[in-house]
Amino acid sequence: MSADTTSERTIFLEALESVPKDRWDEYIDQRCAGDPELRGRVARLLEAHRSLGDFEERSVATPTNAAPDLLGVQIGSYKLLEQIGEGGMGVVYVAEQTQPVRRKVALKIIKPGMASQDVIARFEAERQALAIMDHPNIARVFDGGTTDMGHPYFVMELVQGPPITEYCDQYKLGSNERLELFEQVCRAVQHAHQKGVIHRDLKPSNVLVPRIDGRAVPMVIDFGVAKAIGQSLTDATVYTRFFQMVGTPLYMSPEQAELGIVDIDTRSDVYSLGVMLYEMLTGCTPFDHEQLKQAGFDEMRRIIREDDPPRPSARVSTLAAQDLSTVANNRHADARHLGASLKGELDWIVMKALEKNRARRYESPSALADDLKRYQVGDQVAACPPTLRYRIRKFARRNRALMVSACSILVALVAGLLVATAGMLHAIDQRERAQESERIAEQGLAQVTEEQQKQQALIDLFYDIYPRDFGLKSRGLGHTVYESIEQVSREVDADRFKDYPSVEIEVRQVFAETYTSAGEFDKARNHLYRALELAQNLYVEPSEVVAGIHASIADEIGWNQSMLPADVERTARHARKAIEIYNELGIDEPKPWFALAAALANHPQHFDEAEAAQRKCVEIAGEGSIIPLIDLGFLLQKYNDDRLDEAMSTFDRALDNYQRGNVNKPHIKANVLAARGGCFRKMGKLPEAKQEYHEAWKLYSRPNLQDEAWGHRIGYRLAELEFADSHVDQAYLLLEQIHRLAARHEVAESQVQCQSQLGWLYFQVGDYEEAERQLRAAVEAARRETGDRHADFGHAAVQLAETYEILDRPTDASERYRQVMPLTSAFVDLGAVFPLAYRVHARGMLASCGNEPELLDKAELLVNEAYANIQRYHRETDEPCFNLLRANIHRRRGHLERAIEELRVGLAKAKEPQPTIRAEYTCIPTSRCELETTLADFLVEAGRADEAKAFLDEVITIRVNTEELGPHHIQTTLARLRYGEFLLERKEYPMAKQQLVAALESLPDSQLVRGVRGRTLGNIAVCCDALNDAEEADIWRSEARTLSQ
Amino acid sequence: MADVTHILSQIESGDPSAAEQLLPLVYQELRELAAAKIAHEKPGHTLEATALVHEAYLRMVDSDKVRSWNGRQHFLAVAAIAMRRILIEWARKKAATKRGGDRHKVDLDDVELMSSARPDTILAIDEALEQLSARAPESARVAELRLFAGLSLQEVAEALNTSTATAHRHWVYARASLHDFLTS
Repeated sequence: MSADTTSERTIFLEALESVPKDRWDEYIDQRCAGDPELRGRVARLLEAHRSLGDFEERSVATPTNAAPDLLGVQIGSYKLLEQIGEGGMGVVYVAEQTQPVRRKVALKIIKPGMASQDVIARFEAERQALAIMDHPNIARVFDGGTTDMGHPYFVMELVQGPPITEYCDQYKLGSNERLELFEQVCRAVQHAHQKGVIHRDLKPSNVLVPRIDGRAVPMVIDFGVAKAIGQSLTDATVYTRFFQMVGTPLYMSPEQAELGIVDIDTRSDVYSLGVMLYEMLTGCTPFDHEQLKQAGFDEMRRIIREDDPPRPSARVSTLAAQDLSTVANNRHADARHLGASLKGELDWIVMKALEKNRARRYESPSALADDLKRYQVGDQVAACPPTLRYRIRKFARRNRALMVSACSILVALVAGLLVATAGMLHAIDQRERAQESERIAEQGLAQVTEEQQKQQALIDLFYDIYPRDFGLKSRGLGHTVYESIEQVSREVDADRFKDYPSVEIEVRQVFAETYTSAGEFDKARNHLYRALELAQNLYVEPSEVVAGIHASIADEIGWNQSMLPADVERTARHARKAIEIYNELGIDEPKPWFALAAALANHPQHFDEAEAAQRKCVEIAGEGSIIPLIDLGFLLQKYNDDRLDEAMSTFDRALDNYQRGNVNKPHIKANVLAARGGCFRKMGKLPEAKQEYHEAWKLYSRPNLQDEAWGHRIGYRLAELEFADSHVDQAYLLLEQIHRLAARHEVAESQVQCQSQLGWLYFQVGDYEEAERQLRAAVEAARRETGDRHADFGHAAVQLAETYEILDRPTDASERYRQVMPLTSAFVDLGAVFPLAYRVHARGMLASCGNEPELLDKAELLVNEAYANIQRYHRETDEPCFNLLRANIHRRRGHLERAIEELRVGLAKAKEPQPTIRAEYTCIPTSRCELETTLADFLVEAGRADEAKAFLDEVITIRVNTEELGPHHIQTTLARLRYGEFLLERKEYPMAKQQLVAALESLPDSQLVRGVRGRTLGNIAVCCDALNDAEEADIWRSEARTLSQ
Repeated sequence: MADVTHILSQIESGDPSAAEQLLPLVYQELRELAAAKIAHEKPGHTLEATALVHEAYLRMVDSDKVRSWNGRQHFLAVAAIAMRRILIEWARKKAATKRGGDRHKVDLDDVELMSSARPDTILAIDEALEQLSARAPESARVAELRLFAGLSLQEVAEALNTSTATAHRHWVYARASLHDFLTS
């Protein structure tokens, strides 16, 4: 710093800090005597300072001190008298207007940071509308302009009072008084809407409550200001405000939190009103202030857009005791009853105002006010039915099977009962119910027919379960329906139907069906066994009812897909009994046959009987049957690859029948096509397979089928085939599309599977980091959605374990294997033929056993058993993976040469060129990759690096010369990449570079391989570095950087 | 990619050489963010420099690990330099295509300065800062931190390891100087 500057700066600061403004000139005259240039500079600085105004730190951390400078200042025809508030946007003063009338007004000066001209232009544009607003609860906006310093300001009617929430607490208003106050606010906002003005920034601090003539008069202030300032219109301002920690995101509607959306309408105000109502009732906002504050910017927006806040009653119930008593005390309410008083309709009303989708909100503030009014006088509110329907829909999508049965219960319960149906559709009126009972009683129970008995019993039952608080229990409707079923189920068990056994039999069968589809097989079975007992006592043999129950028991186990020998035995027994009775009655009923076939199908030793049963199903279904034929086809192709042609012709028959039968059920057609596709794939006819899957997927892409999980599965298969065809991008985009559909329709299982599938895809292209991310998410989601005994979980967890193995994270890998052990050991213990379970189980053992000889022996035993099974059932394609496992065991024992030999055996059997495809999760991956890399590793370990090199080189040649692959196929490229990385690790830079560059050139242009591309570019740069070509290395690195942009 | 969180903890544990690694990383990230912002916004939309800097912080730093306030200040201090460079580049590019815009009135209290600044204003500020930096480097640095990273005075003080009062004095002086330069 020059001496010049020092003195200039010193004098300037001295003047500022110790000399009153009006004596600055005098002071610098004195300090700069004899140096006119210095004086000039300081004077200019002081002038600059004067025109900038006194500096005031506006950071949140600094306490606000009034800006005394501005007091008494004249702005236009307003004289500032007193500062009354300061917010994120500006400072509010009481000002005195002198022209044309003398009155006190509120004058808000907007903080700098907003482009002044724009603010004023927007304000002018809305001025007309603001001027015609005339409502006793709206503070009028008189004027707007720019101060001499360029800050925009607004002049409004002066309102002095606490924010509405504070007012309510201050005066300890009870719920009703709060609602009345709030309704006035709604009406005011409605008025503004009718004049075409949207507030956009409704929050308690913009609704002040002065007391006028001893009466509370809520006043909405700042109309038109938000729009003029343009807040919430760009993400940037949202962002800024977020960091300024203004409270506003709390009141911001989901559409306002959306980036780039300018399309804000009156329903945004409805949402903000909803938030305010929520806060007035519960003492807290729907989203926690702290939570939003701590969330990142994107997370905050996500919360506002996606998360469902707890209902007011639930929110109150989670308050800490201390807070609760404060909240209750402020409402003149008893802490214990506060939650209950909110529960029900008031909950619904608030939640309807807070709907994420504005189309489902109240269409206007007055509609909200009207509903509150209805609530207060005890009328039926509008909020419930749509919300209920919506929730049922939402729930139904989530769990279609359960819903179907839940509905069937309801339907069964109200079958033919107009009274009950009416009762279901409308809120149940107690009086109606009483009258109905009276009427029945008058008729005299003794005389009513069995049908009527059944009906009455059902009516009573139905009234008992009809959940008045539908959807209000802890976790959504799903649980409520389920809980209701549980409850009734207990009623049934409690001899509720003691006098009506026929009713009880029927009801129990419905329950069993429900529990079966919900996966609660034990509960289903209990109902069925009890029903069977009753039916056997009640009906004379041979009884169709008894046969039906036997069939159901068999069928339930079929659903269950239990493969335990005892279960299979039991199924067969009940199925055969049902068949016997039906025969006696001369009834052809396919259900027991189907159950028999399904139960036996998983046990190859019973295969012939299963096949016969399934053929009987087809026979009973008669000419034109479709689904029994599909099942037969599946059965035929299950174990024996030699019977694929037969399976295919069965599928062909099904397709013929579909077409001839003039059935217009696209999903059935799609299922047939997909079955053919699967069969083609097993035959190794990939183009044909793809064609079928493609057609099937097209059918499932129709709008009304987009939420079918089964359709999504067909989509994954298509994606796999696209990938096998080197269409990496198509595969990726297809999975993305499915994921979107699954998310939109809330199909949880598909979301899990899709993520898993994406992880698989990343794994295939060698982007293990991304694969790990996707799979980890899939595992967590699966655990949440299905629990850890489900295939979706096992599948994702195994893939993740393998990813960890490649990433050289053995501890993580063995941890994941451990998680699937309960699943795999269940299958392995069955002794049935699940090569996948053996494979995973053995891999899991190897992952954690180290070189422990005893454990290695056990693993070997397992592998040998699997091998024997495979050979018995003609699944040659599965063999190589067990060669791999054996090789690993040999190596652990120190028999490296034997290990290498074993791998060579496996490789010879691995089909050429088996592209990596996975058929469902029951099949094991049959690709050569892992065998190849393992062999190369073992060769190096055995000191035969040159041989390893030659081998990997040959591996590429094999792919290049294979008709289905060729030099540019993704499999060839990836093999090249593996070879390049192998060479790099061995520091053979020129060759490594050559392979990597060749691989890079044929990598497809897809988002999916971005990670791989980046890694390859980096590896090439490393080669260049090693070859002392820094310049070229730079070029590759800069390309890598461009890639990441 | 070197990990920003890691570098910050190195700086905190007293390794001054680590700071050198930080600038290119932050610069790169900010440039990407800015490019993305510009690409998605309508033409003429301006950059929210401060917002970008904070967003970069959120994206690059694992705030669980860098708990100390100090780490954040280091980051923001570096980000201010990076942001200034980016804005200058951007402004030069824009100014090259569109000449003759009036120099805009600049409110120097406005820490969101760049949200409303035009290319020529940014260039002018840069020039003014250069001049100021020759005469009073500390004051110029304070201005840079405030204008390009939106730091509050307290944050500036912590970043520069000085008192808030001193930071305040630097700022008042820098502000008047810049204003004088821009209006004369």
